[in-house]
Amino acid sequence: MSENENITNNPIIVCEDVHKWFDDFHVLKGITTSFKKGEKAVICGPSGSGKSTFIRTINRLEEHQRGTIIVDGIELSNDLRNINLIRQEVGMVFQQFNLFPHLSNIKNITLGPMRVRKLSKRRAEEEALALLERMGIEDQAYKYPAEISGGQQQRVAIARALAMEPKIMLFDEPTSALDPEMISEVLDVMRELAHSGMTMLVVTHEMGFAREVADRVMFFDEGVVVEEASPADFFDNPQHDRTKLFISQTLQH
Amino acid sequence: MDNLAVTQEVKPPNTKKGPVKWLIDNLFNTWYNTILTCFALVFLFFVFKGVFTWVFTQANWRVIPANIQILMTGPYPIEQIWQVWIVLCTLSVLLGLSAGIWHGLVFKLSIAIASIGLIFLLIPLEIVNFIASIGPTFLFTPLELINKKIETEPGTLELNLNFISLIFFKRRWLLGCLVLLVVTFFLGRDKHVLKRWVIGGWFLSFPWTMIMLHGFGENPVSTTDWGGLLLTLILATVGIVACFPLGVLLALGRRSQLPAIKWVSTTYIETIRGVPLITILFMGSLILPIFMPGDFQLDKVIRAMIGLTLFSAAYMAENVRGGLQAVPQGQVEAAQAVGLTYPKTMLFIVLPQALRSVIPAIVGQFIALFKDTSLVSIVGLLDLFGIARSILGNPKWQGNFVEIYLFVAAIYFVFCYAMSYFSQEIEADLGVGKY
Repeated sequence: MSENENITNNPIIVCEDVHKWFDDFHVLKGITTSFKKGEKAVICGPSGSGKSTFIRTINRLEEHQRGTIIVDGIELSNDLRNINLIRQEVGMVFQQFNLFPHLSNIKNITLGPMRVRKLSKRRAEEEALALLERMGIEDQAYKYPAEISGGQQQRVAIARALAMEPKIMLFDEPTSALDPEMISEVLDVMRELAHSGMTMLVVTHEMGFAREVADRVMFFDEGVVVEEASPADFFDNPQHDRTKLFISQTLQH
Repeated sequence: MDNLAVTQEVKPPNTKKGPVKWLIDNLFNTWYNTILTCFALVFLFFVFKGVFTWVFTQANWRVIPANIQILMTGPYPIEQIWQVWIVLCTLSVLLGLSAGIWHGLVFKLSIAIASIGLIFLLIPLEIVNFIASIGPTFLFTPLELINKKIETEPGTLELNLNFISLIFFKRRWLLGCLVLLVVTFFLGRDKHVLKRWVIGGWFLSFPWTMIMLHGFGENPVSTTDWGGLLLTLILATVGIVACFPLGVLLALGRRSQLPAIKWVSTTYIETIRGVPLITILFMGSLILPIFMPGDFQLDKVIRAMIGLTLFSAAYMAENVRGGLQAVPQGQVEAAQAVGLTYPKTMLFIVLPQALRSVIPAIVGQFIALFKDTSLVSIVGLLDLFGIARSILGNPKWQGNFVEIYLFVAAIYFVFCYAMSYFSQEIEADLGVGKY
C-alpha cells in the first residue's frame, strides 16, 4: 500500500448497481462500488470482462442502462448539461491515444482550455507548455502527433487531459498500444501523477504498476467485480479461483 | 558485427536516359513498334494539319470580338455596364486586401486573376479581325505586305494600334480594376487588424453585387437582362457558396441520432438525387409560380439559384458524409472526453478532418455545378451557353457554331481547370496524405 495519505473519506465517484447491455449482450452486471478522492484504483481482468466499458460509463462515453453513477455530486443522466459538467472534471486517456492529427501537439492541448474553459490563447499556451515540460516533451510542442513516437503521443494525450484540470483521471489501457521500450516513459508520468494526489482509475495489464501505485486492485470478469483488494492482498493472497488463475497467467511471462 | 561499419556507401544505379535512348527504347524497340509509331505520326500529322487549316483558314473568328460584349454580360444595357465594373472593382479591392493579409493561396489566386486581366488589357481583341482579313498565310506574310494591306484597306482593319487610347480609354475600367488590385495588395500587406473587416466585406459583397447589378433609381436592370458569363458566374458562385454549408448540415443531419432530423435529411437527399437537375429547374420556373400567392413572383434568376443550390446540396451532403465516415470514432470520444459539446466537436475536430479527406470530391461537385449552370438556358435564362445559342440564332452568325462553342468551351475550361488546380494547391497546403 502506498500514497494513501492523500485519500480522503469522501467518495468522489459512487456507482450503484450499474448495468449495461450491448444489444443483448450483458456487459456490466450490476457494479456497485465507490472511489474516494485521491484514490488510485487499478482495474484488471480478461478482455471482454467489461473493465473498459465500466470506466467509459463514468464520463458517459458509454451510457449505462440501469443503476446510478454519481461523479463529484452530479448524477449522470441524459441531461446534456450534467454530462458536459462531468466530462470537464474527468480526464481520459485512451489506448490508441486519439490525438487530433490535424492539430499540432500544443493545439491538441490548448483546444479544451480555450473552447471549454474559455482561457485566453496566451494563458492556455503557457499552461500547455508547463504540462509538456512536466511530461518531459516540451521540445515536441509544435510538431504534429504523426511526427512523434507512440510514447510521446501518449504523454501529449495525458497532458491534453490534464489541461482541463480534472479531478479524476481515467486511463483505458494507456500502454497497451506501445512498444515495450516506450511503456516505462508513460508509466513514469502516471506514477508522478499518482504521487501528486490525483484520483485515478487505471485499466491496465501492467501488474508491476498496480502493485506499486494502486491503493486498490479490482478484478473484473464477465461483467462483475470478482474481487477487490489492496495490491498486497490481491497479488499475494487472492481469494477467488478465477483471480488466482488470472494472476498466475499474467505473472507467468 | 564490425563488417557492418565498413560497408561502403552504395549509390543507386543510374536509370536516367537521354531523349534519343528513350525514343529507341520505347518507340522503336521492335519492328512492329516502329511501324505503329510511324502510323501514329502520320495520323497525328493529318489531324494537326486539319485542325490547323480549320483554325487559321476556314474558321471565322470575327464572331467572337463582334459578340464579346453580349457573351460577357448578355443583354445587360451598355449604358449601365459601369455597374458591372463597379462590382468588379469592389471584388478587386477585397481580393487585393485578402492577398495582402493572407498571402499563400489567395495571393496565388489573385496573381492568376491579375495575369488574365493583364492579358485582356494588353491584347487587342481586334487582332482577331486583322488576322482573319489577312487570311491563312498571316504567319508567313512579309511585313511590307501587311503594311500595304493596312494602307489600302483601312476600313477592314480595326486593329487599333494606338495602345494608349485603347488601354486608358476603351479599357479604363479593366485598368482600374487591376490598379485597385495591386494598390490594395500593398495597402493590406500584413495588416492583420483588417482581417475581420475583409471577411465582413466578403460577406457583404454578395448583397452589394446584387444591388449594384440591379441598379437603383429610374433605370433598374431587370435580372432577365443579366446574362452571359456574368450570369454564369453569379449562378455558380451563389450555388457553390450556398450548397456547401447546406450540404454539411444535411450530412450531419443524416448521421444524427435524432430520428426526425435523420429522416428529413435522408428523404431530402434521396429525393433530390433521384431527380434530374432539369426537372428541378423546370419546377422552379413553371410550377412554383402557380403556388405563389397573388402577385408575388420570385425572381427568375433567384429561382434558378435556389434550384441549383438545393440540387447541389444533396450531392454535397453525400460527399461530406463520406468524409465524416472516414473520421475514427476515437476522435469524437477524445473531443467529448475533453468536454467539447457536439457542435464544437464537429466544428473543431470532425469536420476539419472529414472535409480535407474529401476535397477532391467536393471540388468535383463544384466543377459539376459550374457546368450545370448551362442548363438554366433551357428555362429561358441567357447564361453563357444560352447567349451562345442566341448568337447562333442571328442569321449573320448562323454557320459559326463551332467557333462560338469552342470559345464558350474554352471559358468553361479555364474556370473549371482553375478550380481543379486550386483544389490541388489546397491539398498540398493542408498536407493531405501526409498522415
